[in-house]
Amino acid sequence: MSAPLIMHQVDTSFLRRLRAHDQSAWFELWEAFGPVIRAMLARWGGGRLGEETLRDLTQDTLAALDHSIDRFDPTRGVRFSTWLLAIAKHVLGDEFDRRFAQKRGSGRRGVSLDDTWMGQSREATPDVEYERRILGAKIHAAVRATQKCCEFVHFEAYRMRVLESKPGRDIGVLLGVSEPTVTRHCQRVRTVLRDSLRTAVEEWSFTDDERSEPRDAGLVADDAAFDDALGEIWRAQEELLLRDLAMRDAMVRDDRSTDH
Amino acid sequence: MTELDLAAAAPDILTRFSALGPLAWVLSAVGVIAASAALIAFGMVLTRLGVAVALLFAHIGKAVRGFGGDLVRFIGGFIVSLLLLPVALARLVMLKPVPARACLHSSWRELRDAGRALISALLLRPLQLLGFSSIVGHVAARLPVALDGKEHTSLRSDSAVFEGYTVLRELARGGSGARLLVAQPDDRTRRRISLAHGLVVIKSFDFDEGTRLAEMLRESRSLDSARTLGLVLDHEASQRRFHYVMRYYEGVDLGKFVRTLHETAASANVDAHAFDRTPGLDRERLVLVTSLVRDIVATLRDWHGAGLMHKDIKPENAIVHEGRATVVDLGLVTPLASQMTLTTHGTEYFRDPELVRQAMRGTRVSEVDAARFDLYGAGAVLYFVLEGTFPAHGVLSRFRKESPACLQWIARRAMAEFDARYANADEMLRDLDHAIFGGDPAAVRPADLPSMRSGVEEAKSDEERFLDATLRSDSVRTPVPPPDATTSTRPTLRLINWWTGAYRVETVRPLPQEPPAVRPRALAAAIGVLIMALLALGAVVGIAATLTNQ
Repeated sequence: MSAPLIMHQVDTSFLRRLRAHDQSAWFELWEAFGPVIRAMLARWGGGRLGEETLRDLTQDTLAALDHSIDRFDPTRGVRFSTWLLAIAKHVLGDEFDRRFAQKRGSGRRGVSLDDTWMGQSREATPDVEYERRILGAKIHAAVRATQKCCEFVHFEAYRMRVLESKPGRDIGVLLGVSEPTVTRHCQRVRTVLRDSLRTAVEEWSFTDDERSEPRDAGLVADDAAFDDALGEIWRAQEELLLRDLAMRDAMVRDDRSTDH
Repeated sequence: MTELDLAAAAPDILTRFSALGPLAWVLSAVGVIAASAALIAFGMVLTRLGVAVALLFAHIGKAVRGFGGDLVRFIGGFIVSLLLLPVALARLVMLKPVPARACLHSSWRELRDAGRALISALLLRPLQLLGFSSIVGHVAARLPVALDGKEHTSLRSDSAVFEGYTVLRELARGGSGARLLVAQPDDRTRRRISLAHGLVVIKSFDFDEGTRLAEMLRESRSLDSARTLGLVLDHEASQRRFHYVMRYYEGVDLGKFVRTLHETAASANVDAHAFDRTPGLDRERLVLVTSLVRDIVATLRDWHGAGLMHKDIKPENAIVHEGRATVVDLGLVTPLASQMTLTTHGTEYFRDPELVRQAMRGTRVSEVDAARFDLYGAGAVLYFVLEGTFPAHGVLSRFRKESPACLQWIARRAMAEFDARYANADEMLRDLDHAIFGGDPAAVRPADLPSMRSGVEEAKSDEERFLDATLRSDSVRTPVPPPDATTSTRPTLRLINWWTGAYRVETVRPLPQEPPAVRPRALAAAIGVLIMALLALGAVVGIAATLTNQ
């Protein structure tokens, strides 16, 4: 993957909030990217990590982010997604080191984060699926923010129309309103969603190519194209989440059978 | 005296009796009252005796039925355990030790169950028939523990001794680290705590067993709150330990219950998985699980009304008992007016993200409408019962299985943004009632829900109302109007295959009423009244006869 190093406004407000140890910023980060980190850790773990361990490691990843945020140097041109990935890998590597060390009979060695993950790490190579997950997480965060701002009925109309691809007439019947009213509800939500998406991408992007991802994905277009692109990304993200869920269920089943 | 003599003497007796004047009237009145009382008391005695005989037959029938069931379980278990042995041997020959071990394990389990059934048939049922129900209850509770070989030595230790209670077994510990002990109160304690029947669960905190001070303090605060609701029957504190006693509901938690329902539904619909959307629960099961969520929301309404929040609503904290869901675990119960800051305690996916956000800001409980945090949990539980899994993304979680739009709507509304969700448990309860009491939630649109009707109708223009009516008439069935909630029925489960555990959900059958109990005191009182009335009648006749003869 190319690594454009053209940086501008890298010290975003979000990064400032993280550095200031703003609890709500950290919570936002956890809420948006926790599932992505957990899914990637599960994938790398190759079935060797139980549900509880995964949860702990995801928290460890964010704790490592917290510890290293002051030393983060944005001028090296690292993407936000790569930054997250490198730290998650570091935490996972530490977990495996600890397990091997325990097998050999020694204790746990302390976590030490060197600065290699700030550049383009050779090991932490983000793949297409990972980048899709990160973009999906940003869109998820934007939709969540939109849901908070909009009226419940309006948002539900939009969700059914765009995210579930239901015809406007059916939605009207379910909600007891006419089809034009459904269209008006959707328009209101769409306007808010465009703003939320812009904010989310701005907050969680450190490089220009990250910022251009929504445009490349068709999310900066007329209403119909915007809805189509959003619905498509959303459903693809859902598929990934379903896969994660199936993997988690399999893990839980394995844990149970081990217990028995 | 013959009948003829009596007939001849009657006018004479009456004349002499009338001559007694006012005394005759008094004696007549007393005689009539005594005779009436005697008749009524006699009727009561007959009724009570009739009920007693009927219950005796029912008792015998129940014991015989139980005996037959035990016998069938014994034979079935024994045969299956024998059949599994050659299978295990074959797997061992095929060099598959792990499946062979699993097979042996299953065989042992079947044999153990068969043993339990045999003991029950030969020992417990006859005892039950003879009226030793309390002994049977005790043995039935201890037998599985003894057969499993998981007897906790600590159950016999001092830490598990509670005056007035016999500890039967220990449940798995919850998040608070307390021990949960199922116990049977003795008769004196039963009278003291006003518990006529059933077992209790003792939640015990002990510094010597690793309980931390913070946990104990938190629990004691919850205890204060729970006492106001009458949920705590008894409690005691000492230097190192404190415990409290609640009623024990024998049943399965809602999580296990729902997972089993979904597994059986999935196996029944195995061919339907080829379709795009996964089939969900059928109508009867849907109504059943939704009515269980309704029970939880109704409990929340009462708690919130009493100024308390549960703070940890999740499927594992609801016990399905006799077709109803009971909310348990009072560990995080908090007064809504508390001046304490909110904490992030709770369970992931069932805990409101807004609660976490507010807790991080250091908000006090009394500064927010904290009852709505419980409503989020109730919405998440509704999602769980419809989907068989937790809502991984809160209100944005997708419904993968087919379920009625109105129930999905209610779940989302409860999990919506803090200000957009239901204002209170009562509002959610009304929507749930409307959805399920018609018997077919699929026929109810979100627009028909009580919480929606007022707002939407006001906002609609005449044209929209016309369009609405037109669209509804040709595409959506008119929902069945909900009957009176007090006369509604709830589905029940009937086991149809004891071996596979398959069961049938039966609806539209009224809940069985409590059987008319024969109360020995009432019977004794009726007999007493009868005797007194007869004596009084005899005395009146005797006095009248004496006076007349004089």
